[in-house]
Amino acid sequence: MAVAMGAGHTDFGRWGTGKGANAMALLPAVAEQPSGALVTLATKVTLTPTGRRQRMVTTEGSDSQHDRPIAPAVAVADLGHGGAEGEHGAEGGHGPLKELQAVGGFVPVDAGGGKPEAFPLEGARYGQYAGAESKARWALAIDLDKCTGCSACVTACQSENNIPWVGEDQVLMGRELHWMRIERYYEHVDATHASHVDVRFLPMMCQHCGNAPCEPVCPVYATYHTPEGVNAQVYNRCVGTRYCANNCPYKVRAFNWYRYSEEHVPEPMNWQYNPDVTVRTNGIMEKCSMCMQRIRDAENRSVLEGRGKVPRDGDIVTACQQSCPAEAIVFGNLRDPDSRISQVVRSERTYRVLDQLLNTQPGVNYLKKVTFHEAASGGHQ
Amino acid sequence: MTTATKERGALTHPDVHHLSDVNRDVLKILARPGKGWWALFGLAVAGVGLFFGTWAYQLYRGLGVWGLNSPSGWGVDITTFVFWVGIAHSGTLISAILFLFRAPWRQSVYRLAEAMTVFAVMTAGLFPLIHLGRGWLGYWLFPYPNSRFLWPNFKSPLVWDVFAVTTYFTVSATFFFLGCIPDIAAARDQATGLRKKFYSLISLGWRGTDTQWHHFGKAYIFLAALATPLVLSVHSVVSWDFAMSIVPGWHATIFAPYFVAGAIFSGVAMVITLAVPMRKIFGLEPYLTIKHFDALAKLVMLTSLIVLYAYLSEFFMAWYSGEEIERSSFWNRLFGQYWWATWIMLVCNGLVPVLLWFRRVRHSISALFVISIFINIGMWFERWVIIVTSLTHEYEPWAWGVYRPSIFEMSLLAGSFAWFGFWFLLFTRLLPPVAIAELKEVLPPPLRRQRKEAH
Repeated sequence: MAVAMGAGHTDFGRWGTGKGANAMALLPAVAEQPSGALVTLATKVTLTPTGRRQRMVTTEGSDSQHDRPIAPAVAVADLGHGGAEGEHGAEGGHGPLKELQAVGGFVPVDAGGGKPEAFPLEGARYGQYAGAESKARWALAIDLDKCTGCSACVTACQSENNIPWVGEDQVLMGRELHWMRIERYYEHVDATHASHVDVRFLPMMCQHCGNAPCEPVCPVYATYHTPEGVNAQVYNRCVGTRYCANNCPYKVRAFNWYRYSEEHVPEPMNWQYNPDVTVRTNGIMEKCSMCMQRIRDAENRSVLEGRGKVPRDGDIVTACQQSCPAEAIVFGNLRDPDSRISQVVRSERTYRVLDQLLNTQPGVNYLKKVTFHEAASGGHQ
Repeated sequence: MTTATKERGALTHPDVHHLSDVNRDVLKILARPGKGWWALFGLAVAGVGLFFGTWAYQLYRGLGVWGLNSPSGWGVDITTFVFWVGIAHSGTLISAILFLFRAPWRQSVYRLAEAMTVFAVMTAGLFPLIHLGRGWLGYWLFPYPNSRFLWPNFKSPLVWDVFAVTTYFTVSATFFFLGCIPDIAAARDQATGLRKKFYSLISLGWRGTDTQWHHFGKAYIFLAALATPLVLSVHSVVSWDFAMSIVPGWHATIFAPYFVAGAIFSGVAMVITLAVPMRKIFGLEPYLTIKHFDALAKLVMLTSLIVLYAYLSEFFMAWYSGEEIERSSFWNRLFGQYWWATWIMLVCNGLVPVLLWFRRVRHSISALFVISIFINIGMWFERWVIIVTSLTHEYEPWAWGVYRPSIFEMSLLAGSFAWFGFWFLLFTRLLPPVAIAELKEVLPPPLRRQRKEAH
């Protein structure tokens, strides 16, 4: 039996009182000897069936990757052998694309050796990145070896971007409204190792694909590509066909099924809304903007201070990056070879989720988790 | 050719003796409706009220009143849309294609099938509007001139859909109305009072002169030729709503022919579903004979085989491609959370129509009626299977989900049938549901028949 702490308030204002149950009330008033703290483990409780049935609220669809290349890992022994640059099995490398080209297939892009700075590739259908006026290709890198799955980024993102909370009943219906989520996959590994289970955390948000499946399907151009490589959503233009969300292989687009921002965020909570970010209305799609307001702010400051349109490396910090205690998230300009992100994504651990399969050319790069055990089970590349 | 048609026509309608019988039998349907009609009409009006009431409430509250969620952005809404577009297909097939191919059995059923087509498109066309998160902005999908020079995205299959459905509605409604004109004039000649005024207005001054018949014939054949490619194009475009995406289970080159065959399959089944009670209630037995139903059943048989082939080839290709995610999607279809829907689809559309191979079944009106109901159900579930099982089991396992329709979606589905029924019931009382003029063409001319009788 495990019960989460921190809920069941009795005196927490209008909106907090009576939500959840307080597990502390079950604990005996015994202090642990050396520390003097409450004994929270190994407490005896009695369970009585109430006869009531309740569906468990979860955002998890499946806890297994089903051998799909979503959160691969690399064994520590394999590091340093150029794993990610190899022709086969490397998620970042575009082996299959090259093969297709060689046999006259219809993928019209030069794979460019899978180098992150080459993304999006020449010939990608969306975005003209080579234009003189666009000096930046904004991108993210997330080190899965550093990620502990603490969800601080999810919370920070929610506060920064005016994302309303939708409530238990809506999450039960599968309508969680987050711009990012932590996917948690279990991989069963050889029992001779320290742990039977290898847990993979994967912070998943809009991948800002260079070749985005959501963009061509929108009938009203409500989603499009900015010259800086950001997949943008125009709330005013969205009519809510939800086709973009259907066609998104990462399922990172969230729909406003109700007027969540008004109905689910009561006074005075609406005072915490960020004035730099639009509050969204009913019937439209929304998703990660790479903290566009922060990008614009840094650009404006850069122009005012006479440094040109492209801000210095490190001037822009996204909300998720700012809040990550492990510093697993890096944001920056991929076109600048000296930027921190450019250096980070040169790692042999770099890969892009489902890119090899779908040629989506994401702007979000992941660095594989490093495991001690050999590549034995699914998701190992 | 003409003689052959006439001979066969005579064989098809052995119980119709005089040309005047046709006028009498068909126009009597337009007489004062009975209690049964009023009861059905009342039901339909109530259903239409439910339909628009639900829509209004949904516009007011938000799409959240439905059961849709994150992996499943489409559900009952688009399923029902594709279902009705599919129903709309057989009408043009029977009226235009079979007209061009000079199939003599079409005359009795084509008016009914065409009316069904027009009303089904009118029903289907509402769903793309209903399914929008902000339905009041639906006109943004049209390329209308505006001060901001904003156009729709012509790369989006949804925009193609707008064009396909509006074109299809315009052409099929025009074709339907044009074909009705001589018969409306026949009704006008018999009617009195307000009805006479109404028929006079919409018969557009038809007097049956040689010149008018000449122009009518030319216009009809031109419109038939125009409508024919639409039978293939509209449902191809609708299928591209799915095939153009990258969703496993949608992204398949087989979709256009698969959807067209499925559309004709469901449409012909719906013609049978509507024709059986009409034949009984309005006493149309001499006009809608067993031979007509036999021909419709054979069309169902053929399209059922094509559809079954498409199902099997989809499953085969998922396995043969070796693509794990595609395989997983199709495995989930058969044995996943919506396994029952897939098996309803396979049994209703693949197995039940096998019965039609037996002549005895094809010649039993009640058996055909029951089978056609099975097919209607099966074809709705086919679209459900394509849309919902694919969306809820995509690339990201973490994002897999379940979709449960709410009562509001169900009332929209029920309301759509009421909306269709409302127009169809009006049609049976206002327009001749059997093509009088064309039927007369296939009947033997009175002189010859009299001579035969004299012998």
